[in-house]
Formats: sequence, C-alpha cells, structure tokens
Amino acid sequence: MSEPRIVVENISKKYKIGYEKKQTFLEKSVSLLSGREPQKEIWALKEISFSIEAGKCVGIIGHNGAGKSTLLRIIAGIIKADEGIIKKTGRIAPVMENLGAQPRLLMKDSIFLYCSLCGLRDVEIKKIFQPIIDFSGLEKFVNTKIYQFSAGMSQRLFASIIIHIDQSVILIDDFSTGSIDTQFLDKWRRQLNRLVNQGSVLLVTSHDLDDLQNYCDHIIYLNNGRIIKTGDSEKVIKFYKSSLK
Amino acid sequence: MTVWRRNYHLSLGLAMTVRKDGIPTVVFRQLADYSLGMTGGEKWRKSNFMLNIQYLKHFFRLSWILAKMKFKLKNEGSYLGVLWYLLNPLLTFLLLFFIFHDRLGREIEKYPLYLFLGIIMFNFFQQVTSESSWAIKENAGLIKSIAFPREALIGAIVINNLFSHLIELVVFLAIAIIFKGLAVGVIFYFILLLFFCIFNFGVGLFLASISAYFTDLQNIWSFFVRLLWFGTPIFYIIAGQNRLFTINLFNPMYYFIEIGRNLAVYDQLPALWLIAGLAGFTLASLIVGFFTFQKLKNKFAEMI
Repeated sequence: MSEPRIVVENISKKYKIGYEKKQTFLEKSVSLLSGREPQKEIWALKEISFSIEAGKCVGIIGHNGAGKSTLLRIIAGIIKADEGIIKKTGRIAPVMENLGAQPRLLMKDSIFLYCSLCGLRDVEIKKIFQPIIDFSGLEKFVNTKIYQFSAGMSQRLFASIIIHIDQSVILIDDFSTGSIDTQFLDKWRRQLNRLVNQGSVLLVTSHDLDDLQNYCDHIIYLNNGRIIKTGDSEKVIKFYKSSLK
Repeated sequence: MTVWRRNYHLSLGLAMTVRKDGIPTVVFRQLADYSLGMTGGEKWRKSNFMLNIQYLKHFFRLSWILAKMKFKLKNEGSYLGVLWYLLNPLLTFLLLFFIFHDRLGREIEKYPLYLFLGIIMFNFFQQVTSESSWAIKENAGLIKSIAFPREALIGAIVINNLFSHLIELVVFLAIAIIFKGLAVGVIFYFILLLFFCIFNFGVGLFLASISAYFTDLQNIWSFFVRLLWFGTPIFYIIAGQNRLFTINLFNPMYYFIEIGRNLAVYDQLPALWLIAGLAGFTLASLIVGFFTFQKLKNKFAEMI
C-alpha cells in the first residue's frame, strides 16, 4: 500500500447565514438601519476524514449545499477550516470553476497570470504555454480577450491549463462540465486518466452519477456536511440512489 | 512526511509548535498557511524560515505580474493612456498655484516646487490607500478560486502607483528646471521613496483587510483622507502655528512630505526628529498592517 497523497483529518467548517428571527421592534429597527441581518451558525462540514492514495480518482456526490465545493476549497487552501488538519504532498492548483475572474485580459495573458498565481516560474510557464494552447484548440484566439469567449471556450482554456500544471492533487468542481463539447471532454478526460495513472490524485464533484460510476474508483457521499458513506463507487451510488427514493 | 506537528496559533502571529518529540517551541508563525505554489508536503519538512522566504519570493513575483496586468487593463482602449496619471495632480497643482501664488507663494520659498511635491506625494498615498480598500472585493473572482499570497494584491497596487509617481516626478524635475531650482538632494529622495512605499503598503494591508469585513470603512476612509489633505501642510506652511504643529506631529504624511521637501526642494538634510518619526511610522504601519492582514486573510474567500 502506497503512502497517501492527501490526508484529511476531522475537518469541520462553519458558516454564518442569515435567517428569520423573531425580533422585537427595537431589534428590527436597529438591523434595518444598520443593514445587518440576524445571523446563525451552520456547520457546512462536520468531522470529515479520509485519505487518498496516489493514482486514485475519487468522486464526491451529494445534494446542492451538501458541502462539496467547500470541501474542495478547503483542500485547495482557499478557505480555512475551523477544525482539523489536512496533510498533502505536492502542488494543488485552483479548484476548477471558470476563468471569468479577469475577463478583459488577452488569452495569452490569462494563461500567464493563472500559471503565475499557481506559483509557476517563468521557465515553467514557457514550457507549458504552447502545449496549453495546442491542447485547448484555441490557436486562433491567442490575442483575443476572454470576455469575447463563449462559456465553452473559456472552460476549455481553463481545463487545458489545469491539466498542464504539474500537480499532485487535481480538484475539479462539477466534473461533467456542461458547456464543453463531448469531443473535447473525451480528450480532456483521457489526459486526466493518464495523469492519474502517473500517480496524481483526482478529486471531483459531479451530479452525473453514471458518469462518476464509470470514471471514479471511490465515491464519498456527503449530506449536510457529514460523510454518509464512502467506498467502492458502485456500492455508494446504489446506496445514494436508494436513499433518494 | 516525517515530522508531524500541530500549530497552535496564539495572538499576533506567534505560534506554538509541538513536535513529535514533544518539545514545544514558540516560533514566528509561518506565512505559508496557504498551499501556495509550493509543494504542500514540503510544508512539513522545511523550516518555517525557508517557507517564509519562498512565500516572500512568490509574493514579490506575483505583485510584479499583477501590477503589469493592472497596468494593461487600466490603459485598455484609452488614447491618452499614461498621460491620464498626470492630469489629476497637474490640474490640482495649477489651480492651487493660481489661487495662492500671490500670497502664500511669496512667503514660501520655491513655492511651485513646494506645492507640486506635496501634491504628488499625497496623491501617491491617497491612491494606494483608496485602491487598497477596494482590493479584496474587486478581486473576488481570483480570491475565491486560487490560493495565492493575498498580500500581492496590495503589492501590485503599490507598484502601480509607484510607477505613476515616478512619471509625476519627471514633471517635478521639469518644473524644477523651468524655475531654476533643481536640487541635487533629489537623488536622496529615492531612499525616502522606499520608506514611503513600505508605509503605504502597510496602510494598504490594514485597510484592505478591515474593509473586507467592515464595508463602512471605504466611506470613512475617503472622508478621512480629505480631512488629512487639508490638515497636512500641502499648499500652506505651518510657520509657527503651534496647535497645527502639535496635531501634525501625529500625522505621518507630515513627516514624509516635510522630509521630501527638505531633500528634493531645499537641498537640506532633514532634522533628526523628522527621520526618527518617519522610521517609527513606517515600522508601525508595516507591523500593524501585516499582522491585521495575517489575522484576517483566511476568511476573505468567505466574506465576498
């Protein structure tokens, strides 16, 4: 058994959310004037523990708001957990979502910016710059600004960047990305498969259960911030489907 | 993963580390709480010192890159481009000069240079701080999707405004040549500028982190800066007004602008108490800004 690439120990995270509280007249007028609403705490994640070995693909399933994205963000280091620790080896790049953050940059500048933000040096960026463009199939648009891209095109670009950055744990939010065409999606997944076989860990979330069952080795089923079931993808998905009925 | 340790964060960035061998040590808390570009596994092996160096390198590189990107975006589709940087201080200068040059201008030696340097130095401070107070909200997209040294956002703002300050400085030199008042001390102005950048960076960090939580600060700050503009001797001179002088002892901008004028306008060595004040304010700003930012930055992604 190989050493785990990532170990998550007792991760808990709470958020403050607004809610309808029975208030006295005074309280109500104060919150109306100051613009601050009453808030309560909810646990977005509670005592999450798991570890993943090198070369595994793990899927996370659960309803909307179950804590899937929060978990990925905590692993990526974007959000800090309130409790628990994460031990990880190797680089972890951003959670893949979209490239919309700086829409007025040229495509070539965006590639450069995102790679730098991930901590790559100039030499490393130069090495992967052309491969990213070739893989994305967007050669014609290198000098185009991102805001002129269609949703699918910008996802394509980001998907290409993600797989070219050398990283040990690849985090992908919403694996069955809607706007990418199937042809590119297949190519992209073959490349991801290759990376997993080389020893990367792939951690994805999705709502397409059949897709995950085919692709992932293990599934983590989250509900209300707790792990309900983990294990072999077929079993967990069967359990998930039966719990829906 | 040889050494397992758990960090207990105490206040003000100090952390107690208990190593596997059970020896508790108090260390300077590592900056690299984020996974960063550096490899997370090394996080457990390398010393905090090395990690901080790596983090700093990443910070400087990113600040520079973000500044370049910002510069490109700022001048996008603009015909006058960089010239816009000059317009605001230049117009303020011309206006104030025409209003005051008859009276104050006679009292104050080299009034055009006195006035212009004051304006551009205050402008630098004002730009950095007001941009910083928006920095976290403006970059919500980046902050929410990538873990990178958040300080670089403020670093980029300082670099960007330093660039426009340097352009303004060229105009200053031009005015100095026109009025035949070019001072050799201008060379030493660049040392002051280094401190000024650090000071602005510290204030920027403080404002950026607080205003992510406390939105009112952006409004309070823009009002405060306006007050400060009138409180600082930019277009007038203190000259024996005791109460004004006492108040200005607590105004860091007074020290910076006064020393700047000593060097670049009057070719004098600034008084020692001015230099001490400047060093004190710079250090205080950096320390307060740094620790406030460290304390609050972990929640930025949730606040926006």
